[in-house]
Amino acid sequence: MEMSQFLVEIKNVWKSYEIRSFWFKKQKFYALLDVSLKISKGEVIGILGESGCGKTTLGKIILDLEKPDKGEVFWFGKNLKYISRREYKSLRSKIQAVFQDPYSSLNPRYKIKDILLEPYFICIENNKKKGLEKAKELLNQVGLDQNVLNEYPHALSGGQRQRVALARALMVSPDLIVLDEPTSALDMTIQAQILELLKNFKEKIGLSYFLISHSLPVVFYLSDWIIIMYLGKIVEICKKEIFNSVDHHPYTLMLLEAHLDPFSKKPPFEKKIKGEVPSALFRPSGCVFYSRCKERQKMCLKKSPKLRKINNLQYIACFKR
Amino acid sequence: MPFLEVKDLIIGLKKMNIPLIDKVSFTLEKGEILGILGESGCGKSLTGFSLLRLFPSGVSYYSGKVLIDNIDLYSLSEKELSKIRGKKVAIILQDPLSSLNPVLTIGEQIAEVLKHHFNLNSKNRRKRIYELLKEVGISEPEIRAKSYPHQLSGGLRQRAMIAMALAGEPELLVADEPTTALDLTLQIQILELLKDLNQKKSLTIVFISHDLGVVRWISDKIAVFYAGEIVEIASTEEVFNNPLHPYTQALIESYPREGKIRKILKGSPVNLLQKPSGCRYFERCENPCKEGKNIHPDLINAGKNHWVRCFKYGNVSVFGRN
Repeated sequence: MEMSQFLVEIKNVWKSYEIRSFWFKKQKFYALLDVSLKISKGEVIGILGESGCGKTTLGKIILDLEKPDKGEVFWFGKNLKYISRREYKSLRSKIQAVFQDPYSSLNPRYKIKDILLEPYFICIENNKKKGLEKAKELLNQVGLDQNVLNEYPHALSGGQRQRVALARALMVSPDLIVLDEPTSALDMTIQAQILELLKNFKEKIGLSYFLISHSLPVVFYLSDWIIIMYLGKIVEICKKEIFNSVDHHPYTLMLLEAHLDPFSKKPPFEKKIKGEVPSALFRPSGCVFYSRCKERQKMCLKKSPKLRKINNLQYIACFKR
Repeated sequence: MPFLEVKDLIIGLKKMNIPLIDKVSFTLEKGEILGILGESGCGKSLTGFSLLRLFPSGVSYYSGKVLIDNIDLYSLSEKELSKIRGKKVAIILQDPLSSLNPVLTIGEQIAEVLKHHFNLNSKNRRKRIYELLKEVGISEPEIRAKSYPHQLSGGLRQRAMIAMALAGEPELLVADEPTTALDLTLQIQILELLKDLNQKKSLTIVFISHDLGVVRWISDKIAVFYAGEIVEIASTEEVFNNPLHPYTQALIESYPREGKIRKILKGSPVNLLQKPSGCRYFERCENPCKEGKNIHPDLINAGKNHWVRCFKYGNVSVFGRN
């Protein structure tokens, strides 16, 4: 099969949801506006943003759990609109997910053994012996004892469950894993363990991640590229290496200011940050960040800035950059 | 005389004899902020609730003392207690949507507190409600007082809850992870508000969190909890610049810093139902000491008012503490 250099490519994707307000009036709001991105093999893309910015929706689009209103999604260079069922099935297993809450993402009535084998039977082959071998090997790799195979999820701790969720994703040898807030339900010391594990897999088997998170240190730890979203739009894309040495979108600067770094030298709390993310229902016509921007101009209210290339390593959607 | 004194407080399960927080002691001067740091299930929230003598069902008080402004909280009757709760000590919680009453407006909920503690006529009460809402940074208080919790955004809800807590003019505020459910740019605004109240009204705050960054910048003093007990307590600067307990060290080292994690602590927190007789951190400790296997260490003073529960800094049970 001919392979594209990108695992996933998203072109000008729009996604809206309808909500019914109290008076049965339908209202439409856009979760994603004209979003494009590419994920190469072996790369980690970290998405940063506040709640309601569309980062989880973007993850669902990549996983093909949601269909976009407009725009195209490519898996390994194949447009999902025109892909044959057979091809779709063979590619489906290459993109997997690990979700935030390991308490609800594992079936409580299944033993760990069955949780791990189910995707293997469906996507790889119906061979219990080989499947179990693989399950044991993966459990070993994620740092779990083989005894858990016969346990139910309730017998495991949060960190152990997240390891099982990761092993389940790895059972079908994927190329890309969508990680939706993989550590935010975990304790600090457990978070460090899981992050290290994820980094190891990336380095050893060249796994790619699409990491969705609201935590700056987590995104910095794993990502090669950092994408910042605000109200359904990508406002900045920046390579991690240059992140600390370049100027950013006003919203990125705001996030950096709001982050409380326990190791920074100067105390925060300068009262520069005001307001909160407006509702997606009443989206302003111009720049999405207009209402909170410190550097806004008149034109920002009329026109929405496009994501512009600053150099090979950075893209910003702002008129002033 | 310190403003708040907690002395050998033990609180545990009602049916089994299992302490969930074990001999917790600390003192706090008026106007100080104590940060309580720890992982889930270490007893940090329970310690917060115990300062109001509120417990989840199935949990009860065993022994120890809580003195707030020289009032012994655990010797009061229920009636006396209701005069203290909300007036002397108030609490704000993590999730404002589930801790505010959905069928009452914000104004009505604040009025409840005022009715209970003060003798105001309805006009003055309304005036006071607006004052309180303004104080916590809510613009247009006349409109907001008439809104229901679901009509407010996350940030405004948390502010409304703080206004409610402040209605009784408390001197001690227990903040149980008040910013965990909030976005980054809101979190900092709420923390700024709490810091302001602390400085203007010399409000004493016990701030419970698992976020290293938040605790680092909000508190004057930090207590690190592990498996139901304090393992280290000292000024914020001391805890971050000179952490003594191996667990505190591991917490600080395991925070992703400039894209790197310096040390990864193996294992997971101790299950309190099967806690060891010796040092509770023994299993996860990198250089466990011999004594730790069977003997439970005491909290000892390692100088500069820096208390730590580890045998490496001396053994005090010889001197008879405990």
